[in-house]
Amino acid sequence: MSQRRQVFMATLLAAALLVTCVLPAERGVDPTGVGRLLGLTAMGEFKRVIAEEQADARRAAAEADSLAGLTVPR
Amino acid sequence: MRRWWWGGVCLLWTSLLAAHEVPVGDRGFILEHPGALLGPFVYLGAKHMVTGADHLLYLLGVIFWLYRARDVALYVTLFAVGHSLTLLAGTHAGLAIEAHLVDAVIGASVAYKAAENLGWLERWWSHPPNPRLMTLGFGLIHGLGLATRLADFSLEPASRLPNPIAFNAGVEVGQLLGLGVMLLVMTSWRRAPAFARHARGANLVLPLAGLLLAAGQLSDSLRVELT
Repeated sequence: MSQRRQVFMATLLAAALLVTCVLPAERGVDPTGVGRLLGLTAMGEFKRVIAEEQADARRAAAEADSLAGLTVPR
Repeated sequence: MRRWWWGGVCLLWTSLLAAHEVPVGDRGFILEHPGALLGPFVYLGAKHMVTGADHLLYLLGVIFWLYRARDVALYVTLFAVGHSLTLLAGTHAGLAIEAHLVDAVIGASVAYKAAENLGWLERWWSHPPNPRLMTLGFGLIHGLGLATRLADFSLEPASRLPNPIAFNAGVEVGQLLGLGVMLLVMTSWRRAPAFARHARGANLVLPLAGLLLAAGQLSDSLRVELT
């Protein structure tokens, strides 16, 4: 196999892994359905919920600060 | 100076990835889902391998002067057997070791391999240790590091067999992925006319990166003991 072909195959494999494993497990995004089959999508969905809860908490804290008349740089 | 740029990149990568502990989301998911989770553990094993500089740097040192596929397979197998043994045995026994100390030794193993690649061991000792035995031995130590990482998930005794086996399988998958990229880069690098000159520099940067890892871990270890 030529060098160029090897690099092409490696890139193809990386893209496939990104779509079938990394995106489901990290973001809960599973366009192919493979992530759910492997049990990875649940983990990504869990992480997304955690991230949303954290964002909500930050927003609530900022709101409370502004109500108290404080301007805390964040 | 231009040929040092990649050395800088390598060091930067090392310092960025040096602290590769288990991310909050991964840990939370495992804690909330007790029992056998084969898919996620394979994924986490591969992720741990690919996102951490220490194991891949050591592997890079190991394959640096291996030109034949048979030798690459032999050394990588020795390394894999070593870390599988301590990963599985350590997790099964519920082994608890100071993680930073193990990681410091892992950093030192990168430096050791580079010194071996530079031919310094023959200069220091009349009978340098057998490289195959050392690869197996350092594999055992890298496995201890993996076991402490897996212990972060505080596995239930009931899932102390399937999940570590899945994690170990993932580690091998991640190792093979990393190895594939390394071999791809190494073959084209070896064809370059300046390879001999670069090789010396690369093996000088490797121990620096390894010692950096070791020093970082030692200081973390001290900090943990002081607090």
